[in-house]
Amino acid sequence: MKEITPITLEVLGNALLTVAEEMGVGLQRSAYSSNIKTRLDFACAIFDSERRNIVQALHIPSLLGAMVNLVPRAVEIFGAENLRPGDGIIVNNPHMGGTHLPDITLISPVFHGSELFGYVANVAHHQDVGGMAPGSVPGDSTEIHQEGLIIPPMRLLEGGRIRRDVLGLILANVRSPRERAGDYRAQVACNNLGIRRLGEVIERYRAETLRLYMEEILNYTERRMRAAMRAIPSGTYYAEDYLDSDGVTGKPVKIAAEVTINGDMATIDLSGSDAQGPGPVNATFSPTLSAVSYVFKCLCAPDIPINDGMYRPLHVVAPEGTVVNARPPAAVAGCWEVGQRVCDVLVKALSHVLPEKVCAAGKGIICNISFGGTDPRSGKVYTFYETIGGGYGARPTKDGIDGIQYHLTNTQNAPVEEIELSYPVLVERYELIPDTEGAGKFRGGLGMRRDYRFIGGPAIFSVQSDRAKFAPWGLFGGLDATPSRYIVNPDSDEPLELPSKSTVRLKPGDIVSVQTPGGGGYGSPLERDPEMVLRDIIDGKVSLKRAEQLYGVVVDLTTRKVDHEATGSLRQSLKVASRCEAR
Amino acid sequence: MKPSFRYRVGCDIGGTFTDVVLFDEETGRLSLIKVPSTPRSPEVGAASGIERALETMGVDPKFVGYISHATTIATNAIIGQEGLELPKIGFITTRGYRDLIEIMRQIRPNPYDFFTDKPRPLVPRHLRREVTERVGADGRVIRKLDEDEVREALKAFREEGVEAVAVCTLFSFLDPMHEKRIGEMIGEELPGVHFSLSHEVLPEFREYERASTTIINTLLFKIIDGYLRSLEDHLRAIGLSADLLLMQSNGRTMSSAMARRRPVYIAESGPAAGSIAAAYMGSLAGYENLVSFDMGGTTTKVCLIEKGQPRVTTEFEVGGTVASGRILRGSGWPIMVPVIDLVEIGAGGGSIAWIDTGGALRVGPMSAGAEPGPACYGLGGTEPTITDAYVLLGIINPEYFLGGEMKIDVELAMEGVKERIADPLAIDPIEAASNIAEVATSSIVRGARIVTVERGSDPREIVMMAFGGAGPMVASSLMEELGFRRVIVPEAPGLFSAYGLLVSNVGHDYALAWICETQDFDLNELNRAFRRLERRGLEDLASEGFRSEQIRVVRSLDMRYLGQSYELNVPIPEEEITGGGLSDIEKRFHALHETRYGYCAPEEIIQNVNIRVSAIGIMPPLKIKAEKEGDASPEGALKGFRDIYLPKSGGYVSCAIYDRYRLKPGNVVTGPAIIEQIDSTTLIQPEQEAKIDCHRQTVLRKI
Repeated sequence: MKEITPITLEVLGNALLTVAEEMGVGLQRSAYSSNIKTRLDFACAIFDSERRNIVQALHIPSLLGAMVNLVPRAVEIFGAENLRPGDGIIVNNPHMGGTHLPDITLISPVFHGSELFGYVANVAHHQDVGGMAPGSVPGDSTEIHQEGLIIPPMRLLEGGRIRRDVLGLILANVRSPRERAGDYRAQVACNNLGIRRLGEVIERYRAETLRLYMEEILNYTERRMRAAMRAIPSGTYYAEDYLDSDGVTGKPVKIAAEVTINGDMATIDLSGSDAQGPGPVNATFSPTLSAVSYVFKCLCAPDIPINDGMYRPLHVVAPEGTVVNARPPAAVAGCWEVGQRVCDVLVKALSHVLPEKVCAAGKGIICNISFGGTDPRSGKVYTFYETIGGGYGARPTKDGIDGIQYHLTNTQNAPVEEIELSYPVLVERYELIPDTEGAGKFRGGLGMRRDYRFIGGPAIFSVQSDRAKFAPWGLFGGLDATPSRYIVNPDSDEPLELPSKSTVRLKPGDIVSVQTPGGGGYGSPLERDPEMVLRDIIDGKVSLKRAEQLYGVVVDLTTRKVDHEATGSLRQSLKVASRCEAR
Repeated sequence: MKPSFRYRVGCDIGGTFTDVVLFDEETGRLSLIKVPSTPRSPEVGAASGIERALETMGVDPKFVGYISHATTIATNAIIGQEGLELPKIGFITTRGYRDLIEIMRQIRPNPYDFFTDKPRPLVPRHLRREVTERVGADGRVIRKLDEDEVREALKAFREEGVEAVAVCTLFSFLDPMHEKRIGEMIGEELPGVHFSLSHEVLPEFREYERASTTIINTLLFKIIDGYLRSLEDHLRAIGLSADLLLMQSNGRTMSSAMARRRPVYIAESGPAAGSIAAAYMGSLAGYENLVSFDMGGTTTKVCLIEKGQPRVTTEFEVGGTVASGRILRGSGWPIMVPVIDLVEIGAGGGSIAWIDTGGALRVGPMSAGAEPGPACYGLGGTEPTITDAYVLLGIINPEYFLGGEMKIDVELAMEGVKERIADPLAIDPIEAASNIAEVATSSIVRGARIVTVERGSDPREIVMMAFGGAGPMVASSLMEELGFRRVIVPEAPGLFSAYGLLVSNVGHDYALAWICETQDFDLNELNRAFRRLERRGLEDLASEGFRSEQIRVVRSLDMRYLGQSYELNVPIPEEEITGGGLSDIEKRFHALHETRYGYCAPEEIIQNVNIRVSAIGIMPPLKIKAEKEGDASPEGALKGFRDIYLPKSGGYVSCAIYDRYRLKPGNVVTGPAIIEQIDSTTLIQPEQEAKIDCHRQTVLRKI
């Protein structure tokens, strides 16, 4: 056996990462779904013959823990012994390791001669996978069978060719099959590129050496993760938070985390979370694992290579049958809403010991918006899906970002002109909402408003979101932000306020206004630099009234100056008042 | 352009040095000069460099035909360099879209960093005004423009002291009526205030990118105009009345008058010239498919050149952060004009080697820069860099760095590598230096692969043009790693970028949104639209002094499969499109899709999105004399022998050292060997040989 050297480690690590990155480039460039293409909702990875994740290139945090959990299980269910060169296994079943149904994974074995060397795999979020609601993220499903086509591990590729019967079955079950076929082809091309490139790397460095180093790549990531973990004070830290409702009964859903740091490892115990619910607000284990590993990666070592080694020091306790590890036939369309709240709760728990490294709660939602119908211009069925940003939580040294994605999601907005060219809607507004920030020494970001007017025929509109009841929280004296709202015909005589998880039928001319939450504040708003408050007033982000009431800042708008004297005394009296209230 | 002229001048302003190249058309002589840059007013350094070059060569300024110039002033102003104050501008848009340019794409540049930020909006919120108006996706007016609201906005701008106004309303590229009216009203209400209308700057869809491009154009007017005026004054003061050409981001130049009208096109003027030089000199050597590889002190820039043309992209972000070779999406301000598609890697001669908490050896992206510089410079740097590693390996000659002008301290290099790398890893310092070199190479390989593979090119078909101070040093290792066919090192690698200014053509790009499925094409209308764009190109070039026989027009279409959200740019013939021509265009699209993405779908519907025309004013070619290749033996240039450490040969190898200036066309140097010159060191590995070609370029190949 050869000796391991740090140099070869770095060189081979680079070579394998390059393979995964190239796969990503190929997938992104050729996909149809704007979700894959411009919003980068996908990930690519390499696994070894023991089904361990060796390298993952990814663009969106939500898929961090997705493949590491799914690929080994899918291969096991299918049977590695049944795999031949040129096979490609497709799978999306959340109850077999997947996330939600639109995230479709394709796994291809990589052979070196006649020997199975490992696997390349990619997962991508498709615009539609069938089911009761266009976009396949219904707000009111009660069992997974309503949410779309469930694909157990099966061959999409045989002898290097797409099986027409399998693809035919899938396409018969989804909306806009023509575009979706393009996405499946892109996923196939992506794995083919990966097989070819991994083959070149094997050829170049020899399979034996590569195996030896792949082991070491995992150990390396593990060492870095453990080193970072040791910097967190040992102890047990608890936090809890709620999701608005299970989507059916209106009952809030509790997420609780007890994080125990013990030297160089962590136990994340989520057993205090609610039992799985009757609606779509459930997650299987994969989204939960994504959330946990995302938070620890951000707090510990944002630049470590992603692989099995990263998960080794993390022990996640998520009992089966809870909302963070749901059993079949639970509906799971809202799994990422659960994931976002798991992130919030972990950050809050660790804020006790890492106050300088955390942020207050941000929008805390994915905010899945999907709609569909028949386009009167072409007579064709259409589906649209996107997610909408909101405020980011304030940080220890600066404000939260206005109108941005948060935690597990980082998907781009669809250009309004692209939406209107392709779908029969008019986007009437796309703007920040003033006064939605959580006030603080550093304020949270502002929430956003997007209003869709349906100008074609009738449409079905789904929102799978949250934070309409439980606002994003502030930290260390920072205030909570304004919660979200979802309103049909907001400026009419009969506005209809929707719960954060809904599917509604719309008539032509109806408007739906999506208003996302701001981010929580950090530190007391009475300590905010009055000049920063003035800036926000001039920019129309914070109203004069709010500046006085929450920040205790008085400004003269004609001169655009802070009235320091008035501010001083107002702040004094506000401090006294809050102390009295506290008593 | 002066009908007959004898000299052309190129001037490239960098962070530390301003490079000036001067070419004599009659003798074919090229002279090169480096002078210190003057960052606060770069035109001063530029003018004095040009003056020195003219003096050295004894050139009468009146015989200079033109001065071709690359500048980073636009980028520097946008990213907020001190001393370059941006004007106060206002923004007018459709009601409901005031925050378009602040929301941007709603993404975090780095999603794994809680402390990440979007770039600041280029127009503050209180100077962004909404007006009631709306054009729909079919180009029809849904809501009429409320002129009272426009007047109110302009009144507010006047009170705020706004110096220029950018206007971008939804779907203005389909019906520009409202934008035009707003423009008229700005003329009436704010006479003398400059304005840009989005349908004129960039008549394409995607409102955020169009608005951002329009705003950057608006912001740059005053800065570019002021800069050019001052530069022209300085040039006149030294007796130069020659035309001033500006390098654009797309690798072509434009007159200073055009640059004043379309300043956004010179935003990325700086880095473009190197790849133009590589394309030009590569084709002189007989290679059309190249990778230009420019490795300097802090970064390496790599660009793919296909069929003699550097690749361009319209997905560029000014001031963006680069990671793994690519700009992190959402980290800068997008401009949707053609920009040479460079991959940037955080590895240069000054990149620092370090050991991370997991025990891995890493190189970069931190750099010791020019100050304090690598440890061996003796300017106070203690961190080991790539340069230090190459000094220890014996590849860089400590006695002949910058021709001996810069003292290199081998002891300090040794100390840095030993303390920071060798001792912690318990290895020999020379082995550590060799490891640093290898890790650096592997990270560059990753970047270079992105360039080639992303574009569906096979590295084995490609020739690499290696330049910049450090490029020739690492090029031979890259050739091995990536399997490139050949590596070419130009005669003066350190000044090669400036050389690109002398060989680039004048050219302008025009685009128009034309969203239509190919099956529904109205060919008459399409041909008319092409002719319209071409006419603009011909007019603009005529205003710059080109006659029609000096002009070449390139047509292309941006196309995609219906339902895709990104397009491929498909070059098409310059002739009337007929039914048969259309099916040929469709075939080209399928074929390009196959090359780029590994599949095509001939049964699918193709949608066209934009039509594009490039109008190119061909400059007279540079008459570079080809010398006769003589004797193969390089004996006459042999300086001596030195032991260098080459791990692949198992350790120290005695290596022949040659003087670049004494090598003659036809000479063949067999590796292992080193060629030394003032601005660079070329390493030739064992089993490689290098031949000096008839243009004095060094061509490496595997034996």
